Amino acid sequence: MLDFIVKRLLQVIIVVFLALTVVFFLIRLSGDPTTLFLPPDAPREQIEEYREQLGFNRPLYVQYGEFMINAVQGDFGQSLRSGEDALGLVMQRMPATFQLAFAALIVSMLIAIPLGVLSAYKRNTLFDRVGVGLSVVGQAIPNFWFGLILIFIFAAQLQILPSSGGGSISHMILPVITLALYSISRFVRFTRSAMLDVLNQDYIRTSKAAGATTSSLIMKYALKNSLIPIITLVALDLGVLLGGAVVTEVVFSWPGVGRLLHQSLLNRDFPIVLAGVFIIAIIYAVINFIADVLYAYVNPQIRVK
Amino acid sequence: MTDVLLEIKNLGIEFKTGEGTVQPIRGVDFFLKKGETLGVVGESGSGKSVTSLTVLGLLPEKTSKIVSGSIHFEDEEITHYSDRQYRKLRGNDISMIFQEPMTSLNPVFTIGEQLSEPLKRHKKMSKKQREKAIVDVLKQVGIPRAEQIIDEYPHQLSGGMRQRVMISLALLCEPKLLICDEPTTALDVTIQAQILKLMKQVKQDKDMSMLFITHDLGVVAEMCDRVVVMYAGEIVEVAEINELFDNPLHPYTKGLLASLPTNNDRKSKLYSIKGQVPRPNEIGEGCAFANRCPFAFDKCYAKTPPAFSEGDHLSKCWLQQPEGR
Ligand SMILES: Nc1ncnc2c1ncn2[C@@H]1O[C@H](COP(=O)(O)OP(=O)(O)OP(=O)(O)O)[C@@H](O)[C@H]1O
Ligand SMILES: [Mg+2]
Repeated sequence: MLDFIVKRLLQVIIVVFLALTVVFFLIRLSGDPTTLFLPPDAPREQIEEYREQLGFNRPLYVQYGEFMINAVQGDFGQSLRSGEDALGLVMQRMPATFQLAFAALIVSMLIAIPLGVLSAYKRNTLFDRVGVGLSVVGQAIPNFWFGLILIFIFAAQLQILPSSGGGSISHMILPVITLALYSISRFVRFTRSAMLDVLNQDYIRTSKAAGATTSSLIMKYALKNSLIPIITLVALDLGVLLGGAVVTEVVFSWPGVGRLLHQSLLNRDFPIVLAGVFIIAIIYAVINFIADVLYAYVNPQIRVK
Repeated sequence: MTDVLLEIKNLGIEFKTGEGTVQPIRGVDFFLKKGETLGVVGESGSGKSVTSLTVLGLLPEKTSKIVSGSIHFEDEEITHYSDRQYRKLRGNDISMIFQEPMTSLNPVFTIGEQLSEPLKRHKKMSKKQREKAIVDVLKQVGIPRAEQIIDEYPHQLSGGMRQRVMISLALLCEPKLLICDEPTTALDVTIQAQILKLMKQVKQDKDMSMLFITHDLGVVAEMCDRVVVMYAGEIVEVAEINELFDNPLHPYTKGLLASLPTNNDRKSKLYSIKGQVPRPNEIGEGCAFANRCPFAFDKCYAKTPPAFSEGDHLSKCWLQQPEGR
């Protein structure tokens, strides 16, 4: 088990390193930001001077090396705009992002797992078909579009919920629904197929032959087996929710990391972008790691070894 | 009639499949007396499992249908039972042991949790009593360390041990009928012999009746009092065990016996019946075995033979027609 943990932690480091490298070069290749910060008619010397000051005039590999050395020490530099510490700015936004992602995840699980179980139990009935159909649609609807529709209906027309900002429960409702839609659709279909798979197993027949009721077959004997793959998916989706909240945060002006990243990209505020990517990559990798450990925990065949 | 425990009459089962309906069980008739071990033999695909699953109402609800016939258990017709009524039988009056010990136990529940299911359903017992009952049964079927095993998971046990666990699951409520669907096929030979011996012994101890399904006539000779030979969803021959081995009447049974390896002529080539069991959708008019039968004549292809009987010995073959061909 220790071996397994060390191996997976090493993977976490590699993933984070690769993510930072790729983003660093992509962002630099798109040009340097100096012109954005100076008036359009700034003289050449002033631009050069500014570039030198920020270190953008040096060869790319030198900049990359310096960036990595600092990054390892947790220093991503200062915001080019405000001069505040980049990592600090990102960390300030983390709670809001976590709040949204966790709320969406919990809502998704509470809605999707029972629906998926029911769908499997009533497979090929009208209920099941409608459910599967809706979940395909739900997975195909783009986040931003769904968010805008919700704003249109509940904020603009009915005027019962706020369309943007954060701070209260009512502010969370629309973004959480928007963010959860995709996960709900995924979880419903996944739970359904995991349950169907398990319900066809020999051991379910064994329990049935021993006199088990339909409800205990489903809720006890089958569900616990299905939870193994479901938990893995749920944990993976938390990563997607945290990273993928960018669009939702922008649509609802939710004060999280996603919106900060979006703004910083538009502003070419590189240090913030890189600090944000760093945090998201770490979260993503760590969540994967936790998913694996959880998986091992619920599956006695792995746990015991 | 009181000494008959299970009687199946003219049973027909239909499955809905992607390519339409098939009828893998057609007109199956047999009975099982109290205290008897009845063997059901036949090649793969002959319908042994489907027949036995039907008795416990375990066929898939949506895709299968009993199209004809009846099943009487203790003189009560059970094919029209509701799920609730079937549940009273399952694991209580009738238990079943399945072919695959490796996949027949739930991987995420301990042995103890799985074994308490029939007791919870059918017996009023405290947790302590249940645990004691389970440990007792596990010991009866020769499981060492029974007290520890109840807290272990199936993957920690060998195939032979798992099959012993399956047997104890079946025995917990002391059923009147034990259905064994090829309980030893998946095990290696020495374990197989141990398990067979065990089953013979528990059957005697508990005074049960047994429906023993296998494709191995050697196992049948070991275990059974009477034998039903199935071919392609029909019964082709029924006889006492000695009668069947000494005087087989149906060419299919003869073929099965001829394909048994014997000790005295080790060098001669093993006989095998040519061809394969027809799939349910390939069966038309006439005797289902005709295309593989060395003795087949015109009538065999034209008309399905009825059952001809000589005392208790029954066979469905035109060769047995008293007035000849
Ligand atoms: N759920 C099902 N749907 C459709 N056809 C089925 C189903 N179950 C069994 N059959 C068909 O019924 C026939 C008899 O199958 P069955 O499992 O009873 O054979 P068997 O004699 O037990 O063979 P084996 O020795 O391999 O266990 C086969 O042709 C099989 O394809
Ligand atoms: Mg079978």
